[in-house]
Amino acid sequence: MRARGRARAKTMPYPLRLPRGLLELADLRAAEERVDRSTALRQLLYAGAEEYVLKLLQRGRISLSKAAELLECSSWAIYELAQERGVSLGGTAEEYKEAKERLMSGKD
Amino acid sequence: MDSDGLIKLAKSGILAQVIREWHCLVPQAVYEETVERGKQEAYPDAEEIERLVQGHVKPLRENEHAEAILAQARALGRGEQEALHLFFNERADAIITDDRAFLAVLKRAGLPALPPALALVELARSGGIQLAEAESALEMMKGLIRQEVYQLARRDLEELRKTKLKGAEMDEGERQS
Repeated sequence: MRARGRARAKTMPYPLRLPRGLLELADLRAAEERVDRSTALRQLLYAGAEEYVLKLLQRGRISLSKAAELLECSSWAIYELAQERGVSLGGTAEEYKEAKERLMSGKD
Repeated sequence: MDSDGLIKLAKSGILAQVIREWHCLVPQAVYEETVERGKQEAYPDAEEIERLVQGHVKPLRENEHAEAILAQARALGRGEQEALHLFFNERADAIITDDRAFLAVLKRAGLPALPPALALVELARSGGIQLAEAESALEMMKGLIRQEVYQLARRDLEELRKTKLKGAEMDEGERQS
């Protein structure tokens, strides 16, 4: 997968108390991925964020453009992410039928 | 059209034909998030879109009708917001999108949407593309749309094929008589 432009993402400090287990997991990831603890924590946070954004997008709670803004990446990256995780995006059969009916009534 | 429509039509290889047959416009924000950002992230289709939409990109000009609708719609990003402004400013016929959140906003406002799968069916119906071209485009779009929508569009194309075949047979019959 391509880099999603997070190197340029603006960051800000946020005070947060974390469970000891999660910190231990971050340390494991840090050793595994050869990154520092903060980077490992951010990676874990992003993994959860990506999953949640896809869920919202699939349910129609946020749009593609909004999803790309929230994850600070392109719309392409969102589609790539959805395909990697086997998530179907886009309108439903009902929405297709409604658009078709509207189109047909406009032609009459 | 919004980013969703643009990406699906580009991936199905039908964007050039859609732009050629219909007067399609792309909001500046959609261009930025698909072409500019896509190129930064090295998505090859972004360059192809850049070439195809040249002369069809419109900068944001705010519209009060769009503003009123958007005041109630916080789930949309800049791309869909600008698509709505553009729709009103250009008095467009429809917005090409398959984005569920955007479709819901358009439905509530009573505005017409054209999902990309339906767009290619309509393009084939109007003779803008060959039926075989539409069928092949739908196959390429398959992984980007819901399976149920793919099945509906496929059924529509099959019906269109039957109708065209019937029409051709009737023409032949008339010629022979």
